[in-house]
Amino acid sequence: MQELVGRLTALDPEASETLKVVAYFDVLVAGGAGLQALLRGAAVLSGTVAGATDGRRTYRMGPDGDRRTETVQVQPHWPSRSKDDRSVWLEREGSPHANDDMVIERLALAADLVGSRRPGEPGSSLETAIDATRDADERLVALSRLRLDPAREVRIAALPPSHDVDGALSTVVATPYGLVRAVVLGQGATVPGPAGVGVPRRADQLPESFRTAVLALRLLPKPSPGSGAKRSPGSGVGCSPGSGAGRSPGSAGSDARSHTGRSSGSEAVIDAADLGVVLAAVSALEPVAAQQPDVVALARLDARTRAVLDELAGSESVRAAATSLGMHHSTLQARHDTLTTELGYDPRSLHGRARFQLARLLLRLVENH
Amino acid sequence: MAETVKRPPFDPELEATLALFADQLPPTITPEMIPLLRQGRSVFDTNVDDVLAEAGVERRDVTVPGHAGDEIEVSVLSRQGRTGVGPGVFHTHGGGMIMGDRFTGLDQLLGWITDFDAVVVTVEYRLAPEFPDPYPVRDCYAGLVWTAEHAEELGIDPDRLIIAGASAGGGLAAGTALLARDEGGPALAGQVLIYPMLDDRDQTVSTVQIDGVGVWDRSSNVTGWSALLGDRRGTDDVSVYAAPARATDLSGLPPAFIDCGSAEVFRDEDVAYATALWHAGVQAELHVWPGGFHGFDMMAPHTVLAKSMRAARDSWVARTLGV
Repeated sequence: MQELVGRLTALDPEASETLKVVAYFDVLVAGGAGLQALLRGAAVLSGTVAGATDGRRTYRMGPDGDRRTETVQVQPHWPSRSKDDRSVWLEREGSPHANDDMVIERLALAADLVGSRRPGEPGSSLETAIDATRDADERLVALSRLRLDPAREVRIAALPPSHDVDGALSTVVATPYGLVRAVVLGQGATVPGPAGVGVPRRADQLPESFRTAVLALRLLPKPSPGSGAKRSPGSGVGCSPGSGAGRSPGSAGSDARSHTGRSSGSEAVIDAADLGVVLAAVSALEPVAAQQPDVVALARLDARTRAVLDELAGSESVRAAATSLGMHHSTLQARHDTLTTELGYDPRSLHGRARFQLARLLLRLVENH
Repeated sequence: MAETVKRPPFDPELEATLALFADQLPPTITPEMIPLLRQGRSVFDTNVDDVLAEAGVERRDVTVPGHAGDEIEVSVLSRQGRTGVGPGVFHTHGGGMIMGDRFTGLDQLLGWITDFDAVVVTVEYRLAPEFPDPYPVRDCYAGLVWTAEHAEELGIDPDRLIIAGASAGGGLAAGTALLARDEGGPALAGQVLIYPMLDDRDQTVSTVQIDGVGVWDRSSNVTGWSALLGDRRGTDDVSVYAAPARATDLSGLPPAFIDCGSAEVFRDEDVAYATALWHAGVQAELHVWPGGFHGFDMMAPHTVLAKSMRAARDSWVARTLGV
């Protein structure tokens, strides 16, 4: 039985366990755990006492989950993070462990989120205002707390939880796809990528803007192996910034060119309003996406082959695609023929492009589930 | 995969712990996995003597007669330098009837030895499927009889002898208590049934809810019961000693302590057993910890829910043993 084999103990001091640390704190935040639970988590994972102060009160927890009540002076060599009058720390003596930085980063982020979600805090009201399961009256009360006019059009942007936008009203909420930061965008305001921007809606219909924002975020390309994960451990939704292939997936054919210009690399932003009927299509097809033969066919391909297809479908000519892929024209032409046979359609034909783009987007939803 | 059956959510701290184990331990244990799981030693196995020494506990191994007179082993655990007569605990370990050893779950008992001055006798009953029912429960009962017969030399006050076990060990403890009642065996002062495995029939709502999630899910449970009972599982040919949930007469049993989580397979059978004990006029204390998965106090001892569970259980044991 599992409980006889496993018991939560400190992580290996030598081996980096980024995903485990992220997963642990994401689940705590998603479940609405409080500061003390966060500290217990940090303490058990790091194997040393974890502490926090909010300026008035100090909490310290040991790896056994018990409170430490004696007063300590926070030592300068301890891993710590501070924001305003709040700070968190690990009481690490001796050489630092491989996961200390990650633990303290996620603890700080989670403590910040938990603090901002307390009833009465703006984060809590925003969470209500974008929550489709709350009834309209509740959302109206939340809007008035936020001083948002219910009739005014606003947009919600969805970001990885660790990406905060200075000066903007935001909160982090749990979604079926992990934690997502929801940011209120004023008219004409932009947001740094990676992000999905929702369709503009009256403030009393914000859940729809948030829904489309999350959808757009999930449509962002996944990071290529070995690059994105390290740079953005903060992504709880698996959509950290694409590195090389940061093409806006909402664009078919030559449109891709113009998008690539402003959405390359970690700047990737998808605006749901730009997707039009494509948004409605992927939304409607999502429940059956994983069973679609065209999606399954793409899922079987490796990352390099997918990149070749992206380029083939998006370029003016096979020659142009070959140039940007750094391949010989005739080699790519041969690849093109093979792939056309393999897929059962030509991703460069008019119909094939639409088919490919839709399948490609649906695959992202399946993979960023 | 979308979950179609609603179930109580896991407590956030416990769910976070599950997330960390997700890549190592699947929720479902199938029969092919039994040999592999037996190789993975429990957290205490490799250093059981270190753990005991650190706690100041002595260990003495004794060979005693088991079912049908076969030799089995028990360990007698007591505080170093303990003298005189005090409370006793007969322990039946967990492990789904198919794995674990007599030191499995030791952590749950150490405080009773060091703080309550109890002598613990823990039995190495034989495991299914190599030794199917009635071997496990009959080995346990034989161990209990030996303990009661040797109470004086063990330093156990026969009026303060309780039985305790977790999971499969909880089911075996309940079955052993039934045997003691029916066969004129030792009088027990109490039975500590820690998230006990009581029902082979796989018909509760909680078993449907915990399928492919959490710890010791529905299929794992079927694996355990099938190992114990073979083709008899779920038929009329199962004794109340193997599956105490089937007992219709619970009168005359010792007072019981039962705990479990609200998000585990055993929830409904454990609550039903407590209710049946009350109906029979037997005293019982029941705790259902919200959002708890099976065995969460062992897997996530640092959590606030695990600490509360331990505290409630230890409190009952202290009251029952009169310490």
